Amino acid sequence: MHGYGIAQNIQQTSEDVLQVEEGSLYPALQRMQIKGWLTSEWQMTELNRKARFYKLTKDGREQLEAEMKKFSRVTGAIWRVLEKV
Amino acid sequence: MKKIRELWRRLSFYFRRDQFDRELDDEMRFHLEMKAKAKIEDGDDSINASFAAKRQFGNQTRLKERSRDMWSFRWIESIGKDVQYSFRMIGKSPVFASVVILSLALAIGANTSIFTLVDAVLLKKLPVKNPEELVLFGWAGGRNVAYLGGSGSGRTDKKTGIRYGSSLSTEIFERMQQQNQTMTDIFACYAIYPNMNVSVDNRAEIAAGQVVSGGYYKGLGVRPIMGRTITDEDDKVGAPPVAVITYDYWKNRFGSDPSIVGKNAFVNGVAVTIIGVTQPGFVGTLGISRVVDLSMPLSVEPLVDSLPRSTEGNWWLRIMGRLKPGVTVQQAQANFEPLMQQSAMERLRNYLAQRPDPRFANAVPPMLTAIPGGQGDMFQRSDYVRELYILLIIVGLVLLIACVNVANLLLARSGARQKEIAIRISLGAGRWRLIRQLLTESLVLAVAGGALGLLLAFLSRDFLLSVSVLGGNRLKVDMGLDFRVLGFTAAATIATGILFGIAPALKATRIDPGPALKDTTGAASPGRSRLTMGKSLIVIQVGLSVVLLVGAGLFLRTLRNLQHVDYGFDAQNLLLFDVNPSLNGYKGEALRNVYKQITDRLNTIPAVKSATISMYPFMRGDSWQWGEPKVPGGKKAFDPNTSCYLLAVGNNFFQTMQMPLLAGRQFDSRDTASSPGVAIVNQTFVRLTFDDDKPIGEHFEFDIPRGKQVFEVAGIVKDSIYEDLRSAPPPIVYFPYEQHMADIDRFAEGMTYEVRTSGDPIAIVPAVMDLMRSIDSKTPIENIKTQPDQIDEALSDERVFAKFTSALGLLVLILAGIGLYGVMSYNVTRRTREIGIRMALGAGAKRVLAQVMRETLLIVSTGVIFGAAGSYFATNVISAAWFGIDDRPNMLFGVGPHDPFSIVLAALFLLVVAAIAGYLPARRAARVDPLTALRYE
Repeated sequence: MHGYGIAQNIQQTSEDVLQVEEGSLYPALQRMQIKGWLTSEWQMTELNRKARFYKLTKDGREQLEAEMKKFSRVTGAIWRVLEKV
Repeated sequence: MKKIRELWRRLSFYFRRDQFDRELDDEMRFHLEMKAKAKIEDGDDSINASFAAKRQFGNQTRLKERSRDMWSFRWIESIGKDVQYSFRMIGKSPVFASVVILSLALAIGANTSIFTLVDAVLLKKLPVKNPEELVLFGWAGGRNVAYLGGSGSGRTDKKTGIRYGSSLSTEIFERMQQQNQTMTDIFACYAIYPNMNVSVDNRAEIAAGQVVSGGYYKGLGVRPIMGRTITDEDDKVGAPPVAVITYDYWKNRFGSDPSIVGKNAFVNGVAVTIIGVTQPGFVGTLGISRVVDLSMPLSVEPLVDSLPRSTEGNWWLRIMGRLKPGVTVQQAQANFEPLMQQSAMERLRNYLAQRPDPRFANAVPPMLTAIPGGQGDMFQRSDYVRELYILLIIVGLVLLIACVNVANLLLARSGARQKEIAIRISLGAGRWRLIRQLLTESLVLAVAGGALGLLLAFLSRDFLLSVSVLGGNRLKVDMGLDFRVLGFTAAATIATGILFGIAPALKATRIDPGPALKDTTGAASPGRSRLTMGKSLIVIQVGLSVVLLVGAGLFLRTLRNLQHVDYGFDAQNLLLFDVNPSLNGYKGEALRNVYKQITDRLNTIPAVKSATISMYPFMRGDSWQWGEPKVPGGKKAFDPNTSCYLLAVGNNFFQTMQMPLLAGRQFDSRDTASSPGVAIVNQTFVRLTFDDDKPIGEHFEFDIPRGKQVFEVAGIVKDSIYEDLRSAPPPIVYFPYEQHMADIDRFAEGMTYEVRTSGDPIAIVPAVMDLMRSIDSKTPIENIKTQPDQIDEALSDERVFAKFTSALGLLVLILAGIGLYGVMSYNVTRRTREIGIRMALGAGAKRVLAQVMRETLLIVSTGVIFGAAGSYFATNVISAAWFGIDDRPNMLFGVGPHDPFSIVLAALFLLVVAAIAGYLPARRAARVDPLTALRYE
């Protein structure tokens, strides 16, 4: 997926709840490349335009899983706290 | 691993930065276009859509910057820029830069050299496997310790009275091996003294040997580069004698002979097979005190040692071990101490059963000492600590002086850069940013100086080794640069850069840009305070220089005084050499005959006036003592704290040495092995022992373990030195050596010939060699040197210190000259207009000159006064610091630490240098043309 696609995806999936400065995606993508979570490649889009496509690596998938676990632990905890209130 | 890959990605990024920028641009443009297109499809017009897309995207430039920062090492780039800029600034003033770099290089180089020496002598580990696991055992005990004697190094702590010894017995070694729970290996060695006669392929030479246990090489992890090393099989009694030689010995003595393994060597006459050559760098485990050439198994010791030490109960072995993983030195000590104490007490009981001795009535067992053994034996090494630390202090002082000097030059130069800095401040440069820039400049200078200094130290290492004959021994150490030396130099360099850079940087950036830009004549306060600071720095520099010059003066005067000591004999045209026929199997009558034969034959060489023999020469550090002499029925008691020296000599010893006989007779053919014991004594002996001053024919005695030895005084000879130039002539008793042949035979340490020649003594060396070859080609001649050279060797420490401190003294004088010149030049430039006005108002050139000179001399005099006080304080501190730790004599001789002559001389030198350095700017001031000066800027 290319950067624009990612941004669109976030916006649509979150039904416009998560609206950030779209450009701030790019430094984040760079950081993830440094960490080795992503690789990138220039490819043609369906509309026949050149764009940089990003792909999760094995390391990246592991990292994602770990982050999701951590996240669900935290949200789970928050939920439990909120339910008690 | 992940980190490394990450670093690799970052680095590869670094080389395709342009591509990265392009791609990021493309990517963002694509994003914006797509976004705008989507907005148009939603119904916005194209201009609004593009703006909206950009708005939603955020600040593009900042985002690009942030993306780039993700990858790059920003700080490295900005430092890189600082460094680049520094090079440009340095390139602008090459003379300034060269002076700074050269003076730093000399100072850092001197520090590196001395530290290399400290490293080699005190810090370096043995070139063996995991040296930090090694433990060295020894013993310690009070006055009533159950110790019956042995062979090895020992010392007594003067303060606590505790005795320390290096060596343990075979018995203890065996028990340690049997009851070992803490070590993977335990092994032992003993260095054979004196050196051995090693003859290979019919060529006899003297070499240093040791005997080692079968596990020595395995335990150390030292590998052979050829053949094999010694094993337990070789160390069994009755096994064929073998020897392993060191790489250096193989290279130097055998010219790296590839067929050395399997050759036969005759070691003190015993046939031994050479079985291997050890890895380069390994020279035994005895540290700098003993560099080993060849090693044999312990079992061979009784065969090759001229005076066997492996006798029952003798404490002679140096025991080492390698700790099991996770075991501490303390645990190892606890493992072995009980068995060692048990063995010591058993030995004492057996001894007392045969010879009751009241001195051992309350004997307590010794303690076992266990210390880290990774550096090998340290007993001798600690003797160098004082000298090395004083050298370190001296070079440290020089580095400090160089720092102050460079700080001063930077300060003066920052005057010239005042405008530049003011502009940068007014353009918004932060003060810290500027300080960082200026510090980078000083660090660049320091690093250049440090690199050059390292090079100088590296190039001079052989020279340094050739002069570093500390303690009378030429140091045999590995002077290779290692990580410690490099680390030391790097640390010294960076500390130097910051030290000399920080003050000028702080000063230079603390200016108000307004007046600084307007007023270029420097009448404003910053210039004045910079000048005050410059003057203070000069005062400090001169003060430190005085301290160093006073030190140099003290060492030079010490050396001179020692060189002018009255020896009591004529050292000129006197050749010395040693011969040890005992090592080649001569004993009893045969030994007596060969010594006599050599003396007789020496007297037939034409250039020889007379030749004689003695147990050893004066001033080699050897001595023979029998305790206190007594005169039967005499009233005088000999002071037990005075050493009474003995020396066995040939018949015409006094004639050859030209020591005047004051009364009585020389030794002659009447004094034979069977005739009553006679002695010739010196004046001091007579004074300290006898009630009258002409005791010819009277008797005195020594009470030694084998019984009373009585001697009749045959003659009285003039006082002389013995083994030490610093002490007053000691009491000396001379014996005819023929009456002491039994001892000479037993000691088997050889004898020294003294040959008085009519011309250059070295010229007769070939004749002496020929003579010895014709008598016995397998008994080599050793230690050929003239008597003055022998005395000079004893002065090696003093010579090293005198030479070294004077060379550094010269360096600091030059630095003082440069620093002073820099400050006064700046001062004159700053005041050009003022001087011009004064001259326009009628001040003469002479008066201006005098004024500048007066100012220079005032600064220097202040420095000299501080320095004189400082040196008074410093010598106090140094002598106080060494008092009590070290029982060796004062390093100075014939001068006190507060020698006024040295202080005055140091002051004079500095004043002369100051006068020269101050004259040039003063003359420039005096030549100021009032018209030009008033128009000056």
